Amino acid sequence: MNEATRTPIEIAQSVLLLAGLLAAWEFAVVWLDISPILLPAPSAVAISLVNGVKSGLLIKHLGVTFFETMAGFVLGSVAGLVCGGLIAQSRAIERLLYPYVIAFQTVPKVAIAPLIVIWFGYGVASKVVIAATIAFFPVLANTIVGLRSVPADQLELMAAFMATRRQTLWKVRVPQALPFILVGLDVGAVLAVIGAVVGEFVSAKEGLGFQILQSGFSLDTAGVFAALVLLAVMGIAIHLAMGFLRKKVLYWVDDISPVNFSG
Amino acid sequence: MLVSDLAGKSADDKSAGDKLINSKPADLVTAQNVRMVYTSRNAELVTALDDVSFGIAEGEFIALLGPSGCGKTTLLKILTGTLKRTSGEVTMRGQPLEGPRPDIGRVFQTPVLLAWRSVLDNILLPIELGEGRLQRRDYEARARDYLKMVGLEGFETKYPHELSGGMQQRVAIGRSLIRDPAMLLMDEPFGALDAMTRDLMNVELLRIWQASRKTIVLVTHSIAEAVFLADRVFVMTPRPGRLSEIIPIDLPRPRHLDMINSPEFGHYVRRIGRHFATHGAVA
Repeated sequence: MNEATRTPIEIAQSVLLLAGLLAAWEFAVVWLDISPILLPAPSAVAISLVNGVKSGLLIKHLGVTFFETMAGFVLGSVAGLVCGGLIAQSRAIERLLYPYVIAFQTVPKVAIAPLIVIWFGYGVASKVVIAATIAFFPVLANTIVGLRSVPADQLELMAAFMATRRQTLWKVRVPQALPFILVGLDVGAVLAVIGAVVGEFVSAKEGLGFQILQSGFSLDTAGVFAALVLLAVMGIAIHLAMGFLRKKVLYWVDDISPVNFSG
Repeated sequence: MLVSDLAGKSADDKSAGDKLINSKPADLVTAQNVRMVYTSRNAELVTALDDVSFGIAEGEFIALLGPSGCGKTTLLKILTGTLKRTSGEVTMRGQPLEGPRPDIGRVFQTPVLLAWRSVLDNILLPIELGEGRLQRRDYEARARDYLKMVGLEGFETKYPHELSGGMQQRVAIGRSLIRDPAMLLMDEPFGALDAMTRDLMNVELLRIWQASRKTIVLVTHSIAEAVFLADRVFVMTPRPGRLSEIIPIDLPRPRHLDMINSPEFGHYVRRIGRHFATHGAVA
């Protein structure tokens, strides 16, 4: 189901569920006397979050991770669009390149993250590259599928009206591919967050991933949760923005299906 | 056995024989011994069309009638120029037809509108492709005229998904007319519509044909539709696809839906039905 098609009652139900879970969590921690190192109460997380935001520390880390995510997403999706466009142009190019693309995709990016850090340094650059490698594939795959998804009758129409190859590409193939490409971009943008955080886990001096590690080391579990909340908010915001973009760009599509992130 | 039987039949039929052999030089389109052979997936040769010859005069309404698999769509694609015939001659205005031309308009079984273009932009698509985007403006007035002719005045800025199936096919007809072609090739244009809408669209089509004086070749597998619309019905039989008979329809114009109940109409329908029955070609 699409976010925008939710009724106010459904939204209220979702909010109530969250409030109920948080309340249960809070009371469970107090009544069962759970150590805050093991599981801090939601109130403790909220306090840590407010303090972190007030001091500017969490906001700074959030800004770093957001920049890495977005830069990596832009880099990865531009590369995905260009490569996808090239591969969709001819079966010969596809046969030449696609085995390598698949091989690249089957290697877990998390596993090559230390390599990328060695190559691109301990700063922001290596995180951008890791985010880009993760965002690349969904954009690439959706671009290829999209450009190939043109119905035969539309191609026959273009042939009957004597369209050139170029006209067929820009007037039919690209618009036809846009719904696919936008799904790829949505998935790629959300996955880029993972890339940035993984890069920060490997080695960093700033960013929310770094902050989570730091808080973990000092047994500040509430601080870990506070950073996680910000990461979740950032991921959701990116997804909502992409959903908005899809709606704006695909003005002709009646029913925009939700994005499946499992693929 | 069947083939020789068919050949005998069409030679017996005088009117058909005349048209087949003596296609006049003034004809807009002629076909001589057109043959189309495919190689199927298991490397067998399949003859989709064999020895098809005819002439079509300017302004004529022709119905290509036959069961599925008789090669009528193949023939239409060859006339469009998007499918290369194996052998035989096809001419348009005396010149050999070697590919799509701007003076041939095409309507498909489905509207095939581009969903991201408004009605007006869809109608102007052939202009953008052929004459260029800059020329669009010169054709906008004509596009609006055709929209009016197909009964869609005021729908210029609507998108295809906002229109019914019948309205979408009207847009497709407007699009096929925009370059003012001499001939319209239509492949079961109303086949996807419900029976009532289909009848109305056929009446509309006759009105558009009379207003624009185009030559129309329309593919159908409905005997009644063919008789109702056409000046001449080209009867095709399958395996291999052949033009087995050409039947002139001498019903008065303009035609109305209540003519369907007239004895003359019934006579034509029965005659064509018998033809298919004796050739074992009813799908």
